[in-house]
Amino acid sequence: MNPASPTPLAGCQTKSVPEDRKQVCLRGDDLDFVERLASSLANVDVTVTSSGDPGADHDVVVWQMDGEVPRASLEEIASVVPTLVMASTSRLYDAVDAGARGFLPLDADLDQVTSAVSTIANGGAVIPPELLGQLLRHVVERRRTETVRREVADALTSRELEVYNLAVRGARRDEIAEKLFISPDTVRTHLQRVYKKLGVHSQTELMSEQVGGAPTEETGDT
Amino acid sequence: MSTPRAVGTLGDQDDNGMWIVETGGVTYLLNDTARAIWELCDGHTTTDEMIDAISVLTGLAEDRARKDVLSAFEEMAASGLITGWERRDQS
Repeated sequence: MNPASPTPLAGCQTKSVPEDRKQVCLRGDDLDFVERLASSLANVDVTVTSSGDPGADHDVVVWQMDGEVPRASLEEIASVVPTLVMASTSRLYDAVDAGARGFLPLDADLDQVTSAVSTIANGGAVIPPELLGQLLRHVVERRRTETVRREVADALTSRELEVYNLAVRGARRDEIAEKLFISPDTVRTHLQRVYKKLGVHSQTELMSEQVGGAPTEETGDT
Repeated sequence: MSTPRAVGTLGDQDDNGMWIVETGGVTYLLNDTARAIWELCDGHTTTDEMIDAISVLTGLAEDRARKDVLSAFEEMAASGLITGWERRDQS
């Protein structure tokens, strides 16, 4: 817990907390909803508290967000405390990729949220049934991408990886040379090695084979 | 590792929220989770990939996820709802 953290918390309510009761940290853009949720959660023996950043003393974080998922913040929090995200369903993938243990749409009612908090506090996960199939497919694809990225990174030298990262984005040989401060002939040599290691025969094939973009590594291409 | 493929036609939900799947003139009922797994069976996705995705998504230990998925596949295979699944996946 970092007392100097500027992270704003909404719906702050601190109540006396018996030791065996769950600690739930609420964060949200909709203060009215958070207040109502705080009251609702208290009715199912879940105590609401928010005295700073969520920390190890919380059992669940409920984070209601109107806009985009603040991925870095969510990853940080979700890595410490199981987190239920309430957001637009278009944010579902972002939330899950950032490690959310549960997801509910913004129009979920208080009973649904209350139930979800209990489930997550007891080690479960909450995914709306109608979203489960597409989410499983998304996770399968994401894991495949991660595997390809790992295999590429393992197979190539750091310089080859730099060349690869630019080549899969369609950069021409002279553009790669200019960006990496090497000659076009050297780029060609690196590319030939990349093709051989990855079992492809051309840049076009390389671009079609790569899945979801390669890991960015010190290419200066930001 | 096998790559099961779903067989049958997905219908509507019944009054109890179960999904109706018809194959070979026989009707089966799947719950939401079973339907999601059944729909993952595209003949390309491996059983291991499905187990991994479920484990990642739900936080279930991989052993537990494997047990649940393989149990579901055994029933689905016996009912003719999937093909291409092999029992050796249970090792």
